[in-house]
Amino acid sequence: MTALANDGQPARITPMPSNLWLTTEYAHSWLENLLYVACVTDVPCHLWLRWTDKEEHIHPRQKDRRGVLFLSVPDYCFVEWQEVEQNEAGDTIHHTFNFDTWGTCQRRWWHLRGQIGGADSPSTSPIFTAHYEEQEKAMSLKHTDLIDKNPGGIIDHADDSVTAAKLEPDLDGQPKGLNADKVDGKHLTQILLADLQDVSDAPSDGQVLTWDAATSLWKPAAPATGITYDTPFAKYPCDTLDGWACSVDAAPSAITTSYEGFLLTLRNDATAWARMYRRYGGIGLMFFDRAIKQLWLARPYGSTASVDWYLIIGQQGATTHLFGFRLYNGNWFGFWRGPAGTHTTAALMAATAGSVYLLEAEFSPATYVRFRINGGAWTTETLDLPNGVAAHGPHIYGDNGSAVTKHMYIFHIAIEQATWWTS
Amino acid sequence: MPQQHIIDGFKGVVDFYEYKGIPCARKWPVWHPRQPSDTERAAQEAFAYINRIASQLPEYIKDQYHRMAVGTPWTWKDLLVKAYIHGLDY
Repeated sequence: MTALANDGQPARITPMPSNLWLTTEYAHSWLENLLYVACVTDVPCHLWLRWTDKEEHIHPRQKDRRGVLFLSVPDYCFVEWQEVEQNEAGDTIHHTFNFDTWGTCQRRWWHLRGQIGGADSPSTSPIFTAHYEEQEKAMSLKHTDLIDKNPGGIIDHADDSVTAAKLEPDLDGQPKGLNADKVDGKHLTQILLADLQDVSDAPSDGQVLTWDAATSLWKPAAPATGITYDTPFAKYPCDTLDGWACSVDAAPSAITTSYEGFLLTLRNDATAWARMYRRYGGIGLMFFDRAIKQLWLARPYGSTASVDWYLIIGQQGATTHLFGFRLYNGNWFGFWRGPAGTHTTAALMAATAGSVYLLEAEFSPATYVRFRINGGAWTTETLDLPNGVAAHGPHIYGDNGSAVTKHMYIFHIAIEQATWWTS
Repeated sequence: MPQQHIIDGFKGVVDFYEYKGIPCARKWPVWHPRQPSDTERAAQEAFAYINRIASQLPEYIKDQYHRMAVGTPWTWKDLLVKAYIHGLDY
């Protein structure tokens, strides 16, 4: 048990200034085959985790003193080791390591070595060991920090640590001995914000805590308000899109926690319009067609937010119009809007430095739409629907119900994979 | 036993006695205090520090030293002190 100071709190270890360091707290937890290791040292230092999968062996040693042999501290055989450097830069008190690629049922041994101020320290930690199977036992504790794979969170429990013995199940199959609902001898429900070491002050009414990297403290601040919209998109209003009234809806009235915001409103009259949404925190598209009251979801296929491209084709009467925009790294950019007319070949704006994307469409008669990257080969989709839209591949579309007169089609193009999204 | 004047001739306090028939002389030790050198003091403080906080360490860390001490004549605290001051030989 931890020694208690006069105030009933665990006694603090007062570090001694030197080139030595000591591991004062330690914990680890699993995420699949990755072991998160967290530890605390008494002085700031920079640590390396040196590990091996070769079982340690003890080699007794003797010292000759004036002709008499004395036993010395033995050698611990630690061979074929590799090292993992701590995640934190510089000398720190708290140290974390991502210790991955564990094999099933593999056991490893490791210890810590360090530097203080860039100079090697002679201190070492004890040799720790773990077995990949321990993950299930840790998870069986159902402790929040263990479930969240937060080894730092399970340090400093009232009973000091998670030990292998405590992780062993009792006769009922439940882990025994770990009083994981206490911190520093207090139940979690009794911990006040002011007790936390990295919180500067408790927030007042309406404030939130924000992380201040300069002081490494959580500080109260007024909460951010509203949603920041992608202003580059506003550079490409399409309010003259051949009779289509289009605008950026900068102040949507129906934002909920489920949707990040409205992106674009296309409208050609009072009854036919559609809105594009980006899913809150996601990378898909929502397309709502008011006329038929349907909500369509386009999920990127095999792509990431950085390479998702979307293309809208709008058709009014016999004339088809293009309006393209892309989702890049979470931001939307309009890149081209098609003119009225029979066909066009348009160079689109540079998407990223050094990259030029081209889009070409042929609509008289409606035959194809195609695109290419950086002067590469054209990727063509044949337009073989009555309204000049590809029958396969991209087909998230909304129809305002007025036959061929007004249609909007959304194409999703995953450029990197050069494949079309399919439902 | 030597004569008293011989005994008195020795510097300091010397005890003379017989042990199992053997004459013995024992000089009382004299302690000459001195200030330790910087390195000696650092070593003393490190040794005192690690012994002072050893009991405060988490059980899990102590367990590792206990495990490493099995089969050796050393205690877990011996290994802890060695690991802290000089490092263990891995």
